Amino acid sequence: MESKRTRCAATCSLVLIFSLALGCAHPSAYKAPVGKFRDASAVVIESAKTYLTELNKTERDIFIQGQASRPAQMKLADIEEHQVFSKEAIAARLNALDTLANYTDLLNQLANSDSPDQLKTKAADLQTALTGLSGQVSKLTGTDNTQFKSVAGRVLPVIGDVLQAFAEKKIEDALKKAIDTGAAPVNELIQAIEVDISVAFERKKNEFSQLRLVPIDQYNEDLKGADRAKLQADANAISAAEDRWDSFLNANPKDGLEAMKRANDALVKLARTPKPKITDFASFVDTVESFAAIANRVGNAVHELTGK
Amino acid sequence: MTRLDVLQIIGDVITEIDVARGSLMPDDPDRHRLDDLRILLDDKQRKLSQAVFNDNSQAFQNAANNLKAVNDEISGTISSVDNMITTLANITRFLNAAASLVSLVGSFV
Repeated sequence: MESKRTRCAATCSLVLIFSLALGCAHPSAYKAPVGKFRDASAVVIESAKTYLTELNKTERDIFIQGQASRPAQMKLADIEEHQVFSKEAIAARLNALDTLANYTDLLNQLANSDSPDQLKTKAADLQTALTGLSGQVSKLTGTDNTQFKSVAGRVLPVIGDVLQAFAEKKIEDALKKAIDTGAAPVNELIQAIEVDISVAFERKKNEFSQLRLVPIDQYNEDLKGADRAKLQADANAISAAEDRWDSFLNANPKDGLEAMKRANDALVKLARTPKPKITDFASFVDTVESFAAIANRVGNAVHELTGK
Repeated sequence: MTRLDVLQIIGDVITEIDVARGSLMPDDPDRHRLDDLRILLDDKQRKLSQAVFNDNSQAFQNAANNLKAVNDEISGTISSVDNMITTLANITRFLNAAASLVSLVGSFV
């Protein structure tokens, strides 16, 4: 079995979608890591979406709590001014993340499916969604969308070309495009979103840092009354807040996005190796395993923080 | 240094300030001073996070390096409440360096 698998890997293209096109049997060893790549990508993307959707809430809450602590007058106009992204801007970024998720899912289906026609239908559907996303991005205004628009405007057409080749049933061309040209724009799109996510994480960190003080101040106020039961309850609240802070520091979605880029690069490297050795494949599997572990950590931490 | 590097440096200082704040009683006058500085510094970070500017420009790099230099001197000292006069002075220096950066990118915020 191992020698048959090795012979197939040596003669077929390393990317299992190539092996489909050339008519080789699916090397079953590839299914697991590509499936894991897809699953880990889904977790990281969901974590990233959580931060994006909460970005405006974070800024509002920081401002509101800051006003209350001074104390100073609360004006709704000031609260409105502290919103970062319009709902259109957030929606465009969420759709871009959905596009990434569906793209990795398509690659995984190529690895596992015996029905190219189903894949072509899915590719056509994804291409339609991509056209909608391109239109959505082009309508964004404001300086805070400049960079995202610039990257998306460059990257989405390239991904669209890959999908077009699938839809036109030119499987082999699509596979070559996916390997040679698809990886770089996918990584660029991840990078553009990662910038927004990293900023969102820093702002959220400020909010969570401030929240650590709330139960501590309460405890110190209640020290004056020396009600032991109350102080115990306050102490428990402090413990909970510190646990939450620890969880938050482990929930940086940038870690997951960086690992996703590395796994994507590893897939391309493997695909471009004309005669891969077992060690080349093992290196790819290691990178995907590492990605999955990071995704798991970030996903669990975000889930714990948000209950989502 | 990138814009994100600057945001992270400011964020780390804010976290240290919060540790100092949480080590003082709520009615301590030094606590109120730290609260005020924290609000000002958070506002600087917020403006830098929302601005769009060229972080490769020499002017930005000079201002960012100045901020980092101040940070390197004061990092790890702010969370201690043993010498509040020095702590408050250090935070003010850092805040001024951050304010210079915000002025540099000012037309975008």
